[in-house]
Amino acid sequence: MVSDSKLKAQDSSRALTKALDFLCLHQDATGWFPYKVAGQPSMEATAWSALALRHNLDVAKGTAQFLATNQNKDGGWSTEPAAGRSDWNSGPSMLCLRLLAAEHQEIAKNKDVRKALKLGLARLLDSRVEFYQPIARLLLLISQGPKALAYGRGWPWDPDCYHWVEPTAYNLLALKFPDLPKDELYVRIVGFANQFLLEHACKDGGWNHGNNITLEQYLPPYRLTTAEALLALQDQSENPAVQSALKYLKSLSDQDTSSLSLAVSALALIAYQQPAHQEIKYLINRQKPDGSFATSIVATALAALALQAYKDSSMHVLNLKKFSEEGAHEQQ
Amino acid sequence: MSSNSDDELNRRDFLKVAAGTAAAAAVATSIEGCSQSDPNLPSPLHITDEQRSWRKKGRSQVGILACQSYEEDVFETIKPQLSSLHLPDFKNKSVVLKPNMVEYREGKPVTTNPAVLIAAIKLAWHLGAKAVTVAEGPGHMRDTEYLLDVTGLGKACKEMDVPFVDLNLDDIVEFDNKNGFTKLDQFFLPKTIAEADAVVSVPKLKTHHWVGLTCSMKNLFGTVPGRKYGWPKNLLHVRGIPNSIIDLQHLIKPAFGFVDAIVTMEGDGPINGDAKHLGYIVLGQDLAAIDATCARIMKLKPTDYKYLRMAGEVVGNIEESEIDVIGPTVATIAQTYAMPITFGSNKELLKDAGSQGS
Repeated sequence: MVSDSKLKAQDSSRALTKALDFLCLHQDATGWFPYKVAGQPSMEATAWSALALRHNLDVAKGTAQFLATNQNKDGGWSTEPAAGRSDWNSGPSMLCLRLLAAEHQEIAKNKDVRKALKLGLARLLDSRVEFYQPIARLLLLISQGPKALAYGRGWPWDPDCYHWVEPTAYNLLALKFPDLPKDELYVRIVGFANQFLLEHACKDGGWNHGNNITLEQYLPPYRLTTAEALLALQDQSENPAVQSALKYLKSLSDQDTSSLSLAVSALALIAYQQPAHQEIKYLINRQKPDGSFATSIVATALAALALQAYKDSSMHVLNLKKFSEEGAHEQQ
Repeated sequence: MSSNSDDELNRRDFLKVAAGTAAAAAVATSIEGCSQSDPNLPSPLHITDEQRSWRKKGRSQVGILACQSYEEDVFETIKPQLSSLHLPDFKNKSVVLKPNMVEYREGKPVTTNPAVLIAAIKLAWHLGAKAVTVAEGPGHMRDTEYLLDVTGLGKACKEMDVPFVDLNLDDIVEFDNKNGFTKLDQFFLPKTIAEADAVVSVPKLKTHHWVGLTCSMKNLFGTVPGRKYGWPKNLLHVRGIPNSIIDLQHLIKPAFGFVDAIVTMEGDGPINGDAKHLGYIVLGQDLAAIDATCARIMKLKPTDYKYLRMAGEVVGNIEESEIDVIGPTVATIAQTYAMPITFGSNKELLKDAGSQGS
């Protein structure tokens, strides 16, 4: 129990080691992780866990191979292999694969991984929500000009559905990390998805699942979704909606809500160079003796990522500034 | 020259206006896979013989048991009234109780009250269950740990020493749904639900801005796993809420419904409405009959709501004459509920259902 007001470095280091040890124990021999101990494979749990353990080459290679092997023909991923059509799990899976390839040359050179990355990026283009059929788009273009087609568009949870905050955030992360693909098309797609998030911010700051207003009532934000959207919008840090969301997130610092929300809040705050001591303190106090957090392996993986970021912000796997600086160094 | 120029301009303007009009028309009707007309319009129901064969045979019984407050021991309050009811036999069965924990909104009766969940656990044991599990997959929020805490439902599980399963992250099982109403060939549902001997729906009675009311059948939306369908489970709206309700009811086949109708919700339910005290637990084995009876308690006509009309065809009894009510007569306890604005004179708002959460 971290009881004193000052969080000691060794507290977070110890908690991180225990969390990583717990995760290591739960990787299947074929590379995947489950949502819960002894559960079936989960693409999302695999993605976040492998990112937390990304420095371990064996873990990273196993996961990269698993993701590449279990990619659907359309370039996406389902929640587990052979679980129907590709769904929102494509975002975290793609994010993971891109970052693992950025971390390890051996993975980047793997033929299966390279093919999976190419297919996965193409699918990110195709899987966005489209509100208008081609004929309607054409008519809009003729009647109102290009501006009529510049509407915010994000990603759905499941094909043929509306766009929502969280899948849009996951897919934006997958496109922005480690860097945005050079093609102008991706720049435009990211712009529309950013626009969707910014337009759907709640009245007093932050985000909920995606309905900021329903039936003339303004709906409140959630802590977790706000933190997720903030992570995805680091390139929009000066935008008033982002600043307002950051203010909302900081206002919750003294609330010990849940492992998941504390972990992602800490990740977001650190990415924006804000203090996250209180979040980390609450988080560590929630850790179980076996090193896990809450009941899902995703919560443990995200807690480990938050503890890494807290320990050393250069270890923050979702820190856009860090990647931008690294990219600039490489270019020099 | 000028005349020609004017002509050209007029033609261009005309084309732009014409294209704009056509675009508006196309746009209005072409939101791909996402549009939904009024889900409650009294349109003819297209039901196959196979689907009709799912319907319960014979009469149904619904118990309406008085319980004024959550401060009481709800189970002890209703226990003396149980002997007059046909209750399911849970002897040596594994029973999964599914409360409503869709979201948290401070001061709003959004979720099943913990006191009612505790009463349902005690009833399952009373009926001989060998194992009881509480399971839910919240519809709007991924943060189940937080919801369990703020709603008090997590504490209730701990107090009763009953495990909780987050259905959003549970292992999944594929269900064949080729004969369903949603036109989804398959549904992936949680293993905990698939393997249970009996599933009990433990909802909160509320008005609902897209389908009129939410009770024991709509509560089954929380069994659909977010790990596949997301938060919210938007596909269920896009494929038609009534269709989804009936498909889930058919696939899951809940054995029992135990409704928290002590403090209910009126107005803009299921999240933003206001508390309305009713003071009852409503229970039974035919979920169509439970929901139809609850509608009548709210002074709503069941056949005005499409999901109930469908339930009357393929689930069970919704006609008053086919339901034996044990307890006070509905007419003596019915109250007028303020309805969501979607059920006012302007039904256009109902078309937004596909793009909205619960």
